[in-house]
Amino acid sequence: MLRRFVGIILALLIFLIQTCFASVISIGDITPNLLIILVFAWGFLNGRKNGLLMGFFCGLLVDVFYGPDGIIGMTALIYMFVGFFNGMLHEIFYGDDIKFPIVLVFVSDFTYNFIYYVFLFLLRNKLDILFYLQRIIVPEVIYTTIVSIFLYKILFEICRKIDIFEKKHSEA
Amino acid sequence: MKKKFVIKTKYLVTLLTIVCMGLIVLTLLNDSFGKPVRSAVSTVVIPMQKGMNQIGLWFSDRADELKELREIQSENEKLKAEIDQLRMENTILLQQQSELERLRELYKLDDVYSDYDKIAARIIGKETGNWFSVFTINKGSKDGIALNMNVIADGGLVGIVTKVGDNYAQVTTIISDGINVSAKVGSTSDFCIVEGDLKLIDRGVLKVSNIDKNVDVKAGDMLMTSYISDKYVPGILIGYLSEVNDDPNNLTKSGSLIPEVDFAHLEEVLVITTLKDSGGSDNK
Repeated sequence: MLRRFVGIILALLIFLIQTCFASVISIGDITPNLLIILVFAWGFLNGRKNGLLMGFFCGLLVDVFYGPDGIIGMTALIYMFVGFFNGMLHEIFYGDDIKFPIVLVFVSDFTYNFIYYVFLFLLRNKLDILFYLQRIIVPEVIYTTIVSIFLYKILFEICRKIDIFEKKHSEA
Repeated sequence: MKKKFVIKTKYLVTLLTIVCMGLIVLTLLNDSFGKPVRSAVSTVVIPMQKGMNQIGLWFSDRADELKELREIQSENEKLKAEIDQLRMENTILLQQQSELERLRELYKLDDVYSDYDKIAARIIGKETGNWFSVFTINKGSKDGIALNMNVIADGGLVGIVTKVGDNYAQVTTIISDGINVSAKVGSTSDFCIVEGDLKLIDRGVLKVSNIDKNVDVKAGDMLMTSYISDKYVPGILIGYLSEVNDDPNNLTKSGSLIPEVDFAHLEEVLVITTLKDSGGSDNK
């Protein structure tokens, strides 16, 4: 229960930071995708189901406000599976080491942006994928990956605190 | 032994996927379907966004105050001198203005541009991705904002309201990829299409297309919104042509346009509350 509650608070907080302070955190007109770091980390640190729900919640938040052409559900769908697939790795890997999570963030954000490109640009006959790769996708993915080094550490600590708390709670 | 009702993850995945797919299809077919969801979420999130914005503004204001005090003093001297000069120019202009008004009355031209009612609004949020150029403002339907209202700043067209909630509205800028504005050339009143393109905006320009080949346009010509558009009110400045080339089809010309508005540094915008009455389309 505590985990869900903390998750909702974190999602709102990061959504607000990303939308309100976009001009502060962006470099060269590119804003890092903080929400996908949260979705990934939540899945990777808390398991499939938590990742799935977190992805759904964050994606819906984005869709409701900034859904392309008023479409609700697309970002939610992508984020949901980002959380879910990263959550599958939860049972295999322990999240202490930073190197592996960085690779996962990289893959997650790249996949998200690529799907986004395919559905919203490629289908509108904007075929020059190389341009969009170097103008949007690669800068965003790299920036997001760098930010994730710090953000992941924080999220890791938060999740560990919750783990400890829940363990104590269930024993008592 | 206590037994809790827990949904298995694999069922949850299927369920949520269907929910998402359903939402996508429903919102694609009918935009108004998303409205209840949107208003429910926005009543929670928008006040927080506004609060965050206030905090950020407070900090930047304090920083600015310190820096600006000295600048202001020297600027004050300069401005005083400027006022004297402007006063002089103003009297000349007033004379010309009255002359212009007389002439206008003579020709029964109405000065449409200044007639529009406007509401000032502050930008409180930007979209989360980097693909489109969309922002949220702190005024909504409670303040009289409605769908398809035009948004201006610095005397030029910024974009159009694409979503409205009770306490917020979302503006899609004309530099967004795939946004088209029907425009006319100021000097010759010929029509063309101004289109936002992600590829060109790095160079600070928008795409202009469909100019008739026989029209004599050149770089530097003024482009404004035309009266044949069904969403944009006529006569708002969009920007100035920066280059014009013949198209391969030898029928039309296309080129690029430098927008009047500095999109990178927008903070406050004006929403024109006059809606374009296009007869056919529904403005509700």
